[in-house]
Amino acid sequence: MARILIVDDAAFMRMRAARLLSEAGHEVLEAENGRIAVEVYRREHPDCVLMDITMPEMDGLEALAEIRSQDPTARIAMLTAMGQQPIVLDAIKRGARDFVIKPFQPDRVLAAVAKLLAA
Amino acid sequence: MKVQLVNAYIAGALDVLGRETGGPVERGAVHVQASPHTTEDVTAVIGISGGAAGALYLSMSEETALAVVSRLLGEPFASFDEFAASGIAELANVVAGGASIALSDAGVNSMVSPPLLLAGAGVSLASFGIQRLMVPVSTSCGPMTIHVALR
Repeated sequence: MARILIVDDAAFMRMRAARLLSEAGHEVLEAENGRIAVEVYRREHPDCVLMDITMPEMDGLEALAEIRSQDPTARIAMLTAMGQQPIVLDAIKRGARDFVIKPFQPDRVLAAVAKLLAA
Repeated sequence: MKVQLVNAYIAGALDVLGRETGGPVERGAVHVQASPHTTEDVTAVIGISGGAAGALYLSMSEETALAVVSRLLGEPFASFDEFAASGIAELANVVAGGASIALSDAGVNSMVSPPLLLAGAGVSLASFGIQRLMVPVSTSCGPMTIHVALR
């Protein structure tokens, strides 16, 4: 079992991901934007993070960079509808270890988590 | 915007919509609309910026919206509450994301903004000088309309 932080401004999306990961035996933490994610990460040190990109207050790419500056070993995958190549490359440059493009596919999300935890 | 780019954008949107609604999506005849859109029960709006700029609206009845969120979460929704609204906003976000990926593959990069949701029919929504294409679609969750206003 791992502690996983889900970051998405859509409550519906957080619920879908949280249900999937809880059923897979993981403990789930949630944040509704990048700023809160940075705070939760600092406080809770989850084993990995699934992060949306398009969010108010602080977007996922900024939060990714901020968390990685706090903890260079942070294991973060982007879970987003924004799958254009420049954005994928930017996220990888900032330290994302995987990139899962929505729509939400349970098998793909679980595979991304397994990959993060094995890293 | 060039016709082939619009077609790529709409095809990307329909591909994602079909995956999220869990069945084939049939596209009706596309209409060009000059007048403002008068909303149905539920309308999600996504702003688009970058190489393509404008907005995408996803518009539907409350009945269709409830069928969509019930399918996505795997449990029935009886009323269109804030949580269901979040589900439709997320659907629009994913549809716009899929369309943007298709546009990116055709050489035009764009960004999408966080979704806005209008709950309530009869609101007038104008795209101010940007031509709006209205694409009626039939999905396994019910009919909806994709509006694309891009330049």
